[in-house]
This record gives sequence, C-alpha cells and structure tokens, in this order.
Amino acid sequence: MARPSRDRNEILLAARGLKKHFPVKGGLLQREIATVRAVDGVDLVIRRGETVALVGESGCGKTTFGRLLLRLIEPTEGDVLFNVPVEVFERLRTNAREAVPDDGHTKDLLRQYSLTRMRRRSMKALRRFMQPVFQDPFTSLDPRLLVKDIVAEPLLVSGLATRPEAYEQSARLLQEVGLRPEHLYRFPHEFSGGQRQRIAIARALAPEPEFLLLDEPTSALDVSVQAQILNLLKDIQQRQSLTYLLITHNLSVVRHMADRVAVMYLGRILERTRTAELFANPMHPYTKALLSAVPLPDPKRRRERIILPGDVPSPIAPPAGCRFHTRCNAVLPHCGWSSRDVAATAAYLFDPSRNPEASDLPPLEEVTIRGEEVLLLRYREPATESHRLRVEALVRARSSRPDGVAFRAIARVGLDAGRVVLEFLPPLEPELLEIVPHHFVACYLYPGTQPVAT
Amino acid sequence: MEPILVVRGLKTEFSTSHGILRAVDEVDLEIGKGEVLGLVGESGCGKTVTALSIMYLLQQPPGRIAGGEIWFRGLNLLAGSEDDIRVVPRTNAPPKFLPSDPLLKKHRARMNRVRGRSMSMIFQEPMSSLNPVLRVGYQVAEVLMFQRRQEICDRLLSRQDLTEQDLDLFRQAVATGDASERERLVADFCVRTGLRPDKVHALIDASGLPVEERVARVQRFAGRRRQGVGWWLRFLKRLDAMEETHYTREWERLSRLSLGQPAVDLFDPARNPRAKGLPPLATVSPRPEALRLCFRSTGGSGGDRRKGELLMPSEDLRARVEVLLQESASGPFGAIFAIVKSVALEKDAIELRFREPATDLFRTETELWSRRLLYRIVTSIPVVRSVLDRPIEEEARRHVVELFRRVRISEPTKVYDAYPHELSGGMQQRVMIAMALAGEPALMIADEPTTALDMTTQAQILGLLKDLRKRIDSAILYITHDLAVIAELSDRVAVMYAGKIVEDAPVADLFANPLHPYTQGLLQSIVSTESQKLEAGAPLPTIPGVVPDLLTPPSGCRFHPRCSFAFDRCRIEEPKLLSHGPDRRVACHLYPEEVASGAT
Repeated sequence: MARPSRDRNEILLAARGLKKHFPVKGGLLQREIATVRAVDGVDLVIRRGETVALVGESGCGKTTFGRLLLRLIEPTEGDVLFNVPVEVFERLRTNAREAVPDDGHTKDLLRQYSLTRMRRRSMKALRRFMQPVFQDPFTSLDPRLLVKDIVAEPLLVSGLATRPEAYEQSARLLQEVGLRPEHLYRFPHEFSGGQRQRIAIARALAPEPEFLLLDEPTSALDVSVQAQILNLLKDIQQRQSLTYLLITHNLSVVRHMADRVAVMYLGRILERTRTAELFANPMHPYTKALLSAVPLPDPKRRRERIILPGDVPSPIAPPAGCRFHTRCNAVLPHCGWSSRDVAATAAYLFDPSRNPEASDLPPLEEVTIRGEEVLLLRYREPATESHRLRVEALVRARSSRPDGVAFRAIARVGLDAGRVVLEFLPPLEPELLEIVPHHFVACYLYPGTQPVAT
Repeated sequence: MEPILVVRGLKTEFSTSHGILRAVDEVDLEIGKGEVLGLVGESGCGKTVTALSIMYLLQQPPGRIAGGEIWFRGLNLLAGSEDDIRVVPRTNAPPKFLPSDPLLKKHRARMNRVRGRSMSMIFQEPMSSLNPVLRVGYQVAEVLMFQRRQEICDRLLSRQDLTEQDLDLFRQAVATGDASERERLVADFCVRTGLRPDKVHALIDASGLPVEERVARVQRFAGRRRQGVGWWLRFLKRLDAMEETHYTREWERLSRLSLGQPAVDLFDPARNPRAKGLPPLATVSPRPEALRLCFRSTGGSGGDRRKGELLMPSEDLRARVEVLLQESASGPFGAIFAIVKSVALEKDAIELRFREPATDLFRTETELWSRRLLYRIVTSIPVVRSVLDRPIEEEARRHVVELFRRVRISEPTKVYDAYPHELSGGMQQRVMIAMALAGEPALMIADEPTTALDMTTQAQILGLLKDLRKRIDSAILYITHDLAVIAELSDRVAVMYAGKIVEDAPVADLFANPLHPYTQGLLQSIVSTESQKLEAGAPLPTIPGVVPDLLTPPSGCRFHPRCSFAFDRCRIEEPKLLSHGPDRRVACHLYPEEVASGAT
C-alpha cells in the first residue's frame, strides 16, 4: 500500500489553543443559556513515535480533547496541526504568542497544516492515518457485524483495498493482535472483554495508521487482561513505529506506557512533563493528589493520602483564577478567591448581632455581591471611616486564621456612598510555565509564577 | 474471631439453553465479626453470583441454589427455601419452581427481614441500581421506614421539649461567625431536637432580633410541632417487635433441622482434629427439639460391643461432647450451637437438647395475626395512611440527612431532594453506601463499589469505608478484581477462580507469599506506579488465556490450561481446598496435603 508522498515531519499532531464549548439550551425558545467549557485553550504537541498520556478525572475534558484531535467534533476555536515541520510550528507558535496580526502567510500555513480548516474531502483522505480505540469494547463494536466485516470496514471505506484483499488483510491483523483467523466468522458478543478490545485494536490498525487515539483502552477490563492489552499496544507500537495519545485516569498505566504526560483539569492543562519526571517530582497539587490516590498493592505500606474534597466543579462556570483552587490544599491569596467565596461568612463576621467582636458596628442590613471582585456591606446607618477601620481590623484578624485564606485575597477595604466596600485581588489564571527544564506547571506555588501585584 | 457468616459448600446453577452452568461450585467462606474479607478474581469467576446467593437475590429461574448452607448469625438462611419449593412432576423433566408456593413466600418474607437490616449490599453500578424516578433521599428513607421502624417510633415517642443544652446549641449557632461552623451547630441542633434545618436557619436569620428573642421563638416553634399519633407509634413498634421474634423463631426452628452437616463437621473425629478422642460418628439426626448423635464402637477397650456396632454412650463421652461444644463456641459454628440448652445421655445416643422458646407460642401468634389484620385495615385507607405515616417519614428524613453527613455528602439536605442523574458517580456511590448503612447491618457486601469510578473518587470511597468500619464495626465482604484495593482495605482475602475458591489467606501473608499460581499471576499483573522492573520497558507479566466457559469447565484443576506449573495430576484430579500453614488454605497439587494425611 502506498504511503502518501508527503514528508514524515517530526511533529505529528499539535493542538494550538484548542477550545470546545458546548451550548446548553433551555427556556421556551431553546435559546442558549450557558456554555460548557469542555476544553478551554489547550496546547499539546505529539511528536512522531512517542506516547503522550492525558490524565485527569472524569469530566475534565480528556475525551472531548481526543475527539477534537481526530476532528470527530468541530472545535469552537483553535487548530489541530497535522504533520508539521518544526520550523513551521515554531513560527506559528511565536506568532500566536506575540499576537502578530494574521498576515497572509500564517493563514496559508494554517490552511496547509490545520485539520480543522481543511475541507471535509481532504480530511477524509487523512483520516486513515489517525484511528481511535475506545473505552468500552462492549459498545464500540457493531453487534450485527461479523469480526471480518468490523476489521475490514476501515479499509473498504477509505478505498484502500478491494473486498477480498480486505478480508485477507483482516485475517493477518487478527493474528497480529493475538487472535486466530477462525475468529473472523464470529460476532462480537462471542468474545470476552479483552478479546473485544483486541478486535477494536485490529480495526484501528487496519488502514495502517500513524497515530492511535487510545481513549481509556483498559479501564473496562480486568487487571489481568489490562496487562495483556498494554503489552500488545506496546508491542505494536515498537513494530510499526506508531504514535499514541493515551487518555486515562489511571496513573499506573501512564507510568508503564507513556513518554510524556499532561495532567488535565476542567478543560485546561495544569502540568506537563516527561513521565519519569512527573512520578519523581510531581509539582502541581492536583498531580500530587492524583498520585496519592493510586492504591498500593502492598498491605504493609500505607501511602499518605491527599483526599480531594468534593467533585470536579461544573465546567459551565469554572472557578475563577486557578480552576483547582476550590479543592486545593495549598491555596494562596491570589489563587482566585472571589467575593462569592466569602459572602456567607461575611454576613456573620460583620454583623454585630451575631459576632460579639463586631459589636461596635451598627446592625448589618445587607451584603451585596457585585461581580467577582467586590463585596458591599450596607449598615443601618451610613458607614464612616471608623466603621471602615473596624471592618478592616476584622478582615485582618480573620485572614491570619488558617481557614481564612479567602480573606487574605481582600486587597482593599474602602467606603462608597455610605457602604463598606471589600475589594478582591483580580482572579488571574496561572499560566503553564516551564519551572524546571521540560517541566511545565500552572500553579502560583512556584517562584516566577506569581501575578504582578496591582 | 466469632464468625457471623459461614458459607458451606454453596452451589449455584443457572439453567441455560446449552445446559446447566454452575457459576458457584462448593464455595466455603467465613467472615468474622467486624472483619473485611476481600473476594478477588477475574470477571466471570462467580464472585457476584456468590454475593447474590448470600443475599438470596438471584433471578430464579434461571438461577438456583443447588446446594450448601449459608449460616448467618446462627440461622441457616437457605433453610426452608430450596427443597420445599421444588415440585417434581411425573415425567423426567427438570424440577419446576412454583413461585407462589406459600413456603417460598414465607422464606421471602423472612429474607426481607434480614436484607437491609442485618446484611446489605452496595451494588457495582450506582446509576443502574438507583431508581431514576425517585428522589435519592426518599430511596434511602424507604429502607429506614421499612427496616428500622422500631427505632424511628422510639425516637418519636421519646421526644421531649427543648432542654437547656439544646438551647445553648442554638445560642452558639446564632453567635458564631463562621458559616460552616454554624451549619454544623444547626445540624447538631436539628438532630437532637428533630426540627427541620431550613426552619431553624430561617429563625437564626431573622435579622435585627436580639438573641434571646430568637431563642424564645425557636422554643415556641418546637412546642407547635407535631408529635405524631402516640398510640399508632406504639402499635407499630409492638407489631414490628413481634414480627421480628416470630420470624427469628421460625427460622431457628428450620435451622435446627439442617444442623446435621455442622454437627458432623464438629463431632466427627475424621473431620475435626479437636474431636480426635471421640469414637467415630455413626449417625446424626436433627429433630425440631434435639439433635441426636450416635457413635460407632471402636471395639477393644472396655466396650461390650464389637467394632462397627452402635456404641452405648457413657457419661465420660457425654462430658467430652459437652466440652467440645463449649470449645466450639469460638469456632465457626459457635453462634449456631448456642441454641443448645443441655447435653443429655440417652440409651444409645447423646442428645443435644435445644432451648424452648420463652414465650407462649399460641398466644403471641394470635396476637401477631390480629395486629397484622388491624394494620392492613387501617393502612388500606390512603388518607389515614398518609396522615399516620407523615411523622415517620419526617423522622426518617432527619435520619437520612444524618446518614448523608456520615458518608461525607456535603449539603445533605440538598442531595436528599436530588434525582440520581443530578449526582456525579462518586455522589451516587455515597448514596448507595448510605443506603447500605441505613439498617446498621452486621454484614455489608460491597460488589466492586469503586470499579466504575475515578482513582480520586475511589480513594475517597475507600477512605470512607475504612472510616465507617472503625465506627460501626460491621463486617464487609469486598468483591473486586483489583488486588491493589484489597491490600488497602481487607483483613483476609479469598481468591476465586471459575466458581471455586482457590486460595484463602490473611492479607499480609497473601501478598508476601502467594501460594496458588493464579494468585501469583494476579499479583504480578498489577500495573503499579511503583514497580521497579517497569523502567526497562519490559512487557508486563500476564496470565495467558481467559477464564474458561463454566458450561464446560476444564477437567481436573480448572486453572491448569493457564497454569505454567501444571503437570499430569492437575489435568485429572481436582485439588481440594486444604489448609497450608496457620490460617491459610490453598487448592493446588503443588502443595502437600497436611491435614488429609493426619485424618486417616
């Protein structure tokens, strides 16, 4: 089978500012009332021959990202570049970073390499180079097709082979994934979970792809079968020099399979580095929590557990500032605390009838949230400078307590038309920065990442 | 440790169009009080079917418990279920089930009193186990209203006016500045007083009022609330208590008739090494009032009969049987033989006489039936029923909110009114755990409770189970395919393969020195974040092949086609589960038979 004549460039796939927002419709006219920010600005480079793992809890956008890469769904914004020369990629990246206005040349480059700007027809020709393997082998195989038809289908669809050729090919592929040719004439329900996943892998391998998207390939399987499938995947990668993107929530699988890891949370990448580095030196508190959650197969040793409180917040309204700050155990004042986080406590702290320490203030009438950054306190009588000072002292006392982190984010206590105004640090999302060589982290805990004080 | 659950020789079959599939084959299990037993194996090994058999939740037909005993706290759960319901027709066709058979109905009614109350189950997929059209809180409250009505009635009846302590709690709640602290205080206050949290919050938030005025208001409010109809609560309580004794007694009576096998296990010198001094056991005949043991003469020493004939028991033998019985109090059947009142010497046998029921059977029976009838009549009028049940429902709601808090659901009152689809997987699983905890059972069966969840949520749930275990001291049967989870939680592990237990050991021993090749394979195939050998990129060790089809299991040892140590004997002879070292058992020909040689 003929390979395409184009060069085999080093960067096989690259996401550039990829976003996917799903509309939430509601109301009488089914108007858009909110957006789910499933993937919210992700950059990721996958080099030829390597395995990149994408890790995160369910609901963090891993699967959506994988679908965007294969253009199974259309992105809201951003590009997926396929088979780009390094120079071109660097150029596009610097242009994007320095916000160089789009000249015609950049546009041409994008049109040439970006899958998302390609016409559907030319995209179809490229599809055979990128194949998915899905999580649940019980639902991803057509129950009404024989195995030979399942495996041969991609070949026939992309017109790579005639029907007899395709069946011959599928017999060979089945052997490659550890099944026997007689399995060709069976239906998927006759196989166990592990065998079905092998069939799914054979199907993905049929059009001789260069890239496989492995979306939780083993999480529906038993531990013993998981090891078999992982071995198979590694073996095939070595034989056919494939490139993998492994999407999983299981860090032990990552350690065994991947060269590089990206940790995703609520549509953003929080940490990205080489696998060995990640396991030796996890830097983001979220990564540390993920690592500590992996059970140790040894009854004598106990790991210090970092239990994350609660669930992943809704991606409809991700927390301001660092998206992880609501569940983080190492929060700093500028992690993104906003007026909403303190409103409930403020109603007690500054009310003389509830808090004896605030007894010299007049009765509190109302607490108003104005945006993320401002909280207004209205008292029965217009507030004066002495009231302001009292509130300021209360804020200071509170912020020195360990549970008063949110109050440390109060930048200023002012007066406005007889009301006391609490102003917060503007919530800023930490950028993904290279803290140690080849180790990117988006967290304010590390020097050089703090936002400039305003 | 005193076991609360003893499973002996359990066989569960499914009749399929291709023949009988034996999913569980001669499984023996024991779970001690407050112990966590891990049941491990690949999918298709019969773990879940074992759990469902214990709960008697199998779909029948096609499922059927074909043999064995399940002893739970001294009662044989299968007594009165299997043989009585089978009707053999005139032809040679397989036995038919008559689901409407009154005996089976009775067994079902008895089982309903055990499930949820004494043993409960956490199912694998919370999304498909919760009812999608009911609010999750109500689904948990239902368990309480059905299984813990006595406690609920008690709590309602014993409710007094607010004490000074309660009022202090309320004052603190008013005074505190911290929202979460206040939430906690209000919750405590509500639990103590049975007031609704939203009402209490509304009273606290009544701004501008001095503290004492608010306290007075809450007192007035508490005075107004409904106490429930006292006579109805007392009636229900009594009915519930009577039903409980009735069912327990019925079960005890049936269990006595199936005491034969445990008695053989205990008094036969060939089976029990402790019974070495006794003559060989001839017959065991269980009867409703006593268990008769006949021994065989060994001939020789002093006996006036020849070898093989029935022995005339002596006072010395009776004493030895009594000692053995006392010793067994701490053994697997201690709870079962606890119903024995005295050991008597008969002409040609030794009789273990059972305790008589303390109460007058006929009187209680009639009272129970008349009360039941009254209950039916009263509750058949919907309006009356809803009025009478309201205080019970409200009390159950308070209890559920408390339970939700215990399984660390934040905002329990909000979750109470949520539908299952509104909750995340972790939350749903917590609701399932709350439901399993609601009856405060002595045994919880957790069937892969974390398999469908993320690692982080799994860590939360495991932490929760560990914590709960410390607090409520219930035994857990934890089913999973992941040995790493087992290491974290359990005390003992039973490894299951193709419907059989192949190894049974304390968790530390099993991980330090796995005996059965299947266990070794399972342990090696764990992908760990810490394994050193993975650095080189070498392939992971695996168990070749798949779990065999149980319709046609392999001959001999069922694991031999996948075993790298298999030799000729493995293909022909099935290995027995024999003890190997203290507290360990393994079914493999690789290990010498320690006990069997001693018994002959």
